[in-house]
Amino acid sequence: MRHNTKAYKIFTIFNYTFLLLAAVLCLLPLVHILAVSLSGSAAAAANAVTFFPVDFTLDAYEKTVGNENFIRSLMISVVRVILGTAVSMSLLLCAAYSLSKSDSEFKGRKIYTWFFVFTMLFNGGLVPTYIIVTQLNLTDTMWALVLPTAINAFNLILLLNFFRTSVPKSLEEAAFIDGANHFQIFLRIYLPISVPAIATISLFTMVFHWNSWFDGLIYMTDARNYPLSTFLQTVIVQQDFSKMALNAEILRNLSQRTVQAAQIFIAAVPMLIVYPFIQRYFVKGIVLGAEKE
Amino acid sequence: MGLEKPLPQGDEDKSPYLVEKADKNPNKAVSQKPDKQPKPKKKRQKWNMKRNWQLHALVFPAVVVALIFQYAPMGGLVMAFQDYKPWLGFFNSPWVGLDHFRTMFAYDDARQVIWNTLVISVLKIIFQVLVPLVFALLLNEVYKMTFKRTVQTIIYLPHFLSWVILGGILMDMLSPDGGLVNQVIGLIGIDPIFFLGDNTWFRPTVIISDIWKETGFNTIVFLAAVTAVNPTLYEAAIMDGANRWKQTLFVTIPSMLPIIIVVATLSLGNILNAGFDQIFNLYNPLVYETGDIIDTYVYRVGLINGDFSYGTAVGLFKSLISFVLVVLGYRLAYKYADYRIF
Amino acid sequence: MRKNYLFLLMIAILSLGMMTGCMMEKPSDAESQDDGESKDGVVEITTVRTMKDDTKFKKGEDVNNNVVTRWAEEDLGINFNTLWTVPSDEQYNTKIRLSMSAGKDLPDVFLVSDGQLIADLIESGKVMQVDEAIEKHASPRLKKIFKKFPEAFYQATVDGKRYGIPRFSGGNGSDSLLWIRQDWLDKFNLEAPKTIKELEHVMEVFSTQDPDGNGKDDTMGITLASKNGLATWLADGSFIFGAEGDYLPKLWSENEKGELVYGSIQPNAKDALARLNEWYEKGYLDKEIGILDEQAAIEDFVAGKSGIIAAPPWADGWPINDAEKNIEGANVQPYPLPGSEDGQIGRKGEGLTTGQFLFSKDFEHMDKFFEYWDAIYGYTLGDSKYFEKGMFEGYDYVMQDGKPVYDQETIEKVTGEPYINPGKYFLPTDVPTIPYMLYDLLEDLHATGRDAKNPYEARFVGGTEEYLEAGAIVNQQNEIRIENKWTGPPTKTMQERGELLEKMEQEYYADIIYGNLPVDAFDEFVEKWKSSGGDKITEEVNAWYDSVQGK
Repeated sequence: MRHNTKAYKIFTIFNYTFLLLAAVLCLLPLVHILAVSLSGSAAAAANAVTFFPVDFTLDAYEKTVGNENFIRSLMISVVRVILGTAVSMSLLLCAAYSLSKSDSEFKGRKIYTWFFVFTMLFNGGLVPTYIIVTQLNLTDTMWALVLPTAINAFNLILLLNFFRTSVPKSLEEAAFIDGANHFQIFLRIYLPISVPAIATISLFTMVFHWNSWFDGLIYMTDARNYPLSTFLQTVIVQQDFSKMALNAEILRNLSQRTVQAAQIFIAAVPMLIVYPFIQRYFVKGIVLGAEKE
Repeated sequence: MGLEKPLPQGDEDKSPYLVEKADKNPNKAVSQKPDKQPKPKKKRQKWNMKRNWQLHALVFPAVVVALIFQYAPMGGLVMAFQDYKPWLGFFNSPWVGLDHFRTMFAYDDARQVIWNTLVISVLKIIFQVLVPLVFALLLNEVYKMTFKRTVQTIIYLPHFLSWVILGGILMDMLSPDGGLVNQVIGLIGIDPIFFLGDNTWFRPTVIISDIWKETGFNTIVFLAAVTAVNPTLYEAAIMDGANRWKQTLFVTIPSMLPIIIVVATLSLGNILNAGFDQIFNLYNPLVYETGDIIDTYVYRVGLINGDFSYGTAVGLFKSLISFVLVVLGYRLAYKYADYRIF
Repeated sequence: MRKNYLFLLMIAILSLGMMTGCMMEKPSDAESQDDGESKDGVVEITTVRTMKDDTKFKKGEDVNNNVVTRWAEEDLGINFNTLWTVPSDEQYNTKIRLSMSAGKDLPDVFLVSDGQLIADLIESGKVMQVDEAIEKHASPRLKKIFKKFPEAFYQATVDGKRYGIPRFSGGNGSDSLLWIRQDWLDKFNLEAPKTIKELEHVMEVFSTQDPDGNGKDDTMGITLASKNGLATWLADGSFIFGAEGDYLPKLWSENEKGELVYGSIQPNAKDALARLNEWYEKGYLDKEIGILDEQAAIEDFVAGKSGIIAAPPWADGWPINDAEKNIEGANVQPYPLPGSEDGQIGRKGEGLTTGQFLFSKDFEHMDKFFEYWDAIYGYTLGDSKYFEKGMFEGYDYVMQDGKPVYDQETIEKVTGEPYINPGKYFLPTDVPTIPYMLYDLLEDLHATGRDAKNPYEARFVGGTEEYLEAGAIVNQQNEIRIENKWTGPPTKTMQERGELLEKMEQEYYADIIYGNLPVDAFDEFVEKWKSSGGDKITEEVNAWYDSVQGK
């Protein structure tokens, strides 16, 4: 499907240039942060670092990674991401399958859908959710981090729309005629064809779980149970100086910019590794869909 | 064939290539219009009804989880009508009726704050659909896979940086004292602009920096939608002699339309969320006039009062407005694009 | 084929779920309650605390098992059990409110610094009144300190009854003085400014004569942070207001009649704003002053773009130290704050407390608490049977040739571990302080050059010359302190109108400094402030002030 008109060639040059510029613009802050994280704290405090480290040092990384709780938190975060994504995606995919049917095919679809849409717009807030989680004895367990956020109506609606637009009805009908039931059609037709969509929503869910830190703080009473993002919050915190008893000794450690930068970088790295891997499925989906013809 | 304007794909058979292709490959055509099933509808309905329990069974687990973790806590919304005291709980805290809502509207700057919120969020919604769409379409024209994937990954990166960090970086870049941006515009003879301290510039700065941070997110959604476009549609268009631009206009965009509508409608749910983290990290007394939004206001009140009730009341108000708008969006999408988004 | 694949995936996820069960640590309260109480004479005291990144542990130790908890258990018979920790004050307050909402019991002892939360906790009736316990169990030396600073109790005093034990601040610990680039002064043969007028001359030179010699017009006179109010803890501008009169923005202080008045609306604030506006127009200030908070403001100074900053003595360690590291030849020296020509002078004085310790109503061991309190204060007072040589060997000191050594480098060499301050494990989350004691000591050390008399003093003897001198300067200027006398919870009108008034104040202040509004707009602000609830707030604040003083 190449296009060889002159106009298209000019467009291509423009297009590549534009995308390259945009990419550079988006990369700059991260490069800056990397440079700061590798710089001496005095230079960072003076804001003298732009895109290259000044007074190169790995101190900031040592301070973060050197903590004995770091590996532990990292593990907890990894488990949280896998478990959280698995739980959330299973629930959402099943529901999205049913809800992607037309009203006539699935009586009650409308009620279910609005039921979920409602959760997107209304929520009880921190206090009641906390009470429920404590009442269910989920504090200090992984489930406190996984279950309350498992149903994301936004993702559900995206999924059901992807199902509708990308799964050819003809395939489904043919399968029904062959005697397949809904479970089989869901597993054998819907899931394989919707791989790009599933990859997309999984990515969002993973990113969400990787980045969330507040629930870890609220639901884990033992600091050893903090997921990485929560742990990193404890390494650097915006301190309320006005209420601290200050003395010189405390403040020696306070030029934290470099540590903060290291933290951001550490938090971003795993997703940098995972994302390109997931991108394979954006393309694979088409091929699979085409095969099914 | 009239190629003057693109038409929503849900509108039956108005897009020329959909018609073409419908002739060639009826199954594909049907797949493009999920809700408007042609003739075999009634027949299928019958044997589907029998299997309805399976559909119910598939939704059931999600319903249970939502009931426990989303609906049960909604009981806590009564707090909006109470003077909630943690030690008294929901049952014993004194009732105050609509007091919190009254306080909100009696606030001298309420009109200004709500207006700021609306202006900022509406602009954000528009640009957060348009810009990612353009990016997805441009990326779709890239055939060097490594380049495509690299760009795609990189524009998603700023999403990982919190506004605390980006706020700091922005302050440096936009500084009237030799910040990068002011140096550049200085080259073309423009005096330094105090972007973050000037009421004319604050909102554009907020919108543009938001696009910078979040474009990658929706771009991914739209790219996933692009991959779902049926290749046979393009073939039909090419047969018809359409160039790439026309293909984009009459095949790609119409095919993506359902997802575009979904994304746009869902973002209506954010109409009163202009982005707390961003504003909070960028605003200052010099730009309260154009930059103070509902959430930053509620935050400041919370700092003084420290209670949960008022925040819940404002949250409930926001939810109600969002709900009305989402329903409206849903209706409009159905009426004009003939598409049920959920 | 695909089915098997899915099946395997399911198994994997399920086992992962099981695994996490084992990974997570359950809170330890159940076990410790059983054996903790039964050990003869050992009582358990539960608490919660913030744990900031300056609190470090040796390998194998944690908040519930460290050198301090072991000491408390062995020597005092107290088993401290910290139920949870969070990293910041804001999260700490939220978590306390949440656990109250979930109907959990309060910990036995805990620190609260938020005025509203203290008031709420007292109102809940779940917090103990401590007058009797102080009378009965506090040691004479503790009582003496309490008596010396009665205002320290006001924050947790309701109807004349005391509900909290104050966590004392350093008193004047975060009061500021001027830090000036001595190398810049010397370059232009300038004297350190003693009055605002002289200061203006120095700033004029600093901002126009290219003191850093880089040929660019990129330097300014003074670094100020204004985003959180001009009277603040770093890059402080309070002395500019103090040079015009005895009231400071955002502070409630007494007028001649002994009533509390709001500093932001006093006439001297107008004069100070006019001055700041003039400084801004002349380029003495950062163009971005309106959006700079404390940490952002110091960048200019650390980068060598600014020659003067008002900051407390501890700034010697940070950020002054960073500036000297960053800029070749930079030499920053401490100087007293300047006043007006006719001797009017004032600075922001830090409050007496940084929070109150509250006690659960069901807590039965106040005697034990005060025994512990007296023990840790013994260290600060230099009179302790537990801490004669220092807090804990191998932590804050090591023994060499039969003598304790407090030097951090030596400690690190001997122990082979990074230096750790075990004072952070104490309930107050640091070595306890007594107001004004530290800078009294620094002034004494600076004047006499004497040796340390006890381990507490030993920590400061090794301080830099600038630090000691700065402490002495702040202490010598103690009579110019202007304190915030109001420490109560937000009043009713504050809850209703406080946010609005504050926003209005910030807008007017910023606009006047930037010249967006004429200086006379200040009068309009005062009128508006008063009529929009300010007058009522003033009444309420004074009613509170009268009540805590027992009037």
